[in-house]
Amino acid sequence: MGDKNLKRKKKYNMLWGNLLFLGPSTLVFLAVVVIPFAISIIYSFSNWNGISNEIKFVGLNNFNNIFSGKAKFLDAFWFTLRITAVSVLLINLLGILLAVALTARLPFRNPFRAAFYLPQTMGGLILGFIWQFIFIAGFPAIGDKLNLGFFTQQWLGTEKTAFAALVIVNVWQNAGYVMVIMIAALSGISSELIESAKVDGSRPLNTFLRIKLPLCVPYITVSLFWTISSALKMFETNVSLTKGGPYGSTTSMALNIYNDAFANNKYGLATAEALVFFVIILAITSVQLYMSKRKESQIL
Amino acid sequence: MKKNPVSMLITFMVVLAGVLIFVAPLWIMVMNSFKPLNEIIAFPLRFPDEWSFDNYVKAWEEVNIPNIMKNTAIVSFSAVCGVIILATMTAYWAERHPTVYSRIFSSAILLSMLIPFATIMIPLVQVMKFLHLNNTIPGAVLAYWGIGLAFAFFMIRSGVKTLPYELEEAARIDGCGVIQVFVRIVFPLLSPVVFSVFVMDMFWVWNDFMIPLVLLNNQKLSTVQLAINRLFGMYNSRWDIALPALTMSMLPIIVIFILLQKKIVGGVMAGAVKG
Repeated sequence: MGDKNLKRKKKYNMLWGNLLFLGPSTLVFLAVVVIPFAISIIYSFSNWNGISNEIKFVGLNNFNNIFSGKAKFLDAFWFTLRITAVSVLLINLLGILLAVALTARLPFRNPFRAAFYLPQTMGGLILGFIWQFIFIAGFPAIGDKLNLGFFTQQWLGTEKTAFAALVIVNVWQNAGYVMVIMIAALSGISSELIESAKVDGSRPLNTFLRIKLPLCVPYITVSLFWTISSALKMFETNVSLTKGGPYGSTTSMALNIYNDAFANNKYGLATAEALVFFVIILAITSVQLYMSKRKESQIL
Repeated sequence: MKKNPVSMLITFMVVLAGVLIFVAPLWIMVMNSFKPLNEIIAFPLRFPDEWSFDNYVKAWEEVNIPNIMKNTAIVSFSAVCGVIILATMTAYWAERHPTVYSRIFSSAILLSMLIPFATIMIPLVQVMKFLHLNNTIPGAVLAYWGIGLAFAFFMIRSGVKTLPYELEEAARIDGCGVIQVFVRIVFPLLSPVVFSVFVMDMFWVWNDFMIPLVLLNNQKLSTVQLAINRLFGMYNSRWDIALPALTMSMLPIIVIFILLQKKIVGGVMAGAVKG
């Protein structure tokens, strides 16, 4: 009898424990993530404008509009893909270079590291506005002083230079992150290994390419994963630096979704775009994780 | 490793040049924030003739700095504390008492890291309207709780995995209840990882623009990011107001970064290694 009672009491305690510890987070998670995600799927088949009470379901119409190029989402997709490719490459190259330089025994090593990391601590919106000033007022002044036409052009006025401007800000903002990760990676390599390579006659560049870099692959994976996903989701810098212009040429996927929903009142279309956006992020992240996992196991 | 001094000197000079280029935009901003507008436009690279705080007084009033700092502090603090409490409770219980539900819930939380905010923001506004929390600070805070859960859960769960179970057992035998064990034993033991999550999430929420843009559409409740965005929308090229406002909005972050540099960088590394 007593045993049964104890068991029942234990079960009862577990129920309360589950409710107490998992209940609040379950409710919050449902309200903020799960339910909106589900509604998003339902809305994506409708032509709702966000205001009226009438919602008409239009089947795959929104998706047709997206993939046929009628909605501007495909343009935003190509822009985001291009800028992600360029920025990720440059951010990681610069980050690795900085890490290599700042693991050497330089004077002022720590303040230098902090300086390169500093832009990473600020929001993309603020950074974009600061750079707006630099591109509009600072660059022309530098160009006048040095007599360089390269600097005096209308940086935010043409499609190519606006693209370049966004890349510059992206690299400036995020190279510090890669640097920090890669410093951790490089300082984790045992010095005995490097010494023995040296004894065997390996030159510094050779040691770096053949020994250090392969050992850093797991960390490079992390950096790539992070830089790609944050570049694909870019929004703030586009808002503050170029407003998606000139002529919509620097509208990222997230900005495109925001504009369609809250400026153009096309909720149905915007939720469909948002779902496509999710699938793109999911696909690229999984491909990348899969590929880098394979590379890692090949090397190690 | 010893290198020859010449190559060291070259490396040092290159890195120093890099530092100067990296810091230059911020320096140009601060320097110009003290000049009158005509001087900013005519000579943006020149030192100010006199360092005048007139611009700062104007910007302080125009942007209502005390108000936006207060709003941002309230939102950030309530958001991050809530995220940490929810994540710690969930991670602890799911790790100690695994059930079918807790396993599904844990994976769902981790998977939610892959959902961009833009994907759920439109219906999220509808949910907040339904809860009568649209354009209120509690509404924005609630959104941060849900969205921040994934990262905090991910970090804190790995902390829970390293906790010795014996300690909790001993406390239970001494007559501590479940809640007491959690509050008195588990939470303090987790404080290193909790602190680094706290710092990183504070930076995230303080700098976040998209959630307040969508969920806090009320000028009185503006956060720093919203107010700066509105300022640039209202006055185009009024740099004598914009630059001091930008400088002031960055000041708290820079101070905290300098104070907590080691913790912040350590936290970034910890997050990366676990990923």
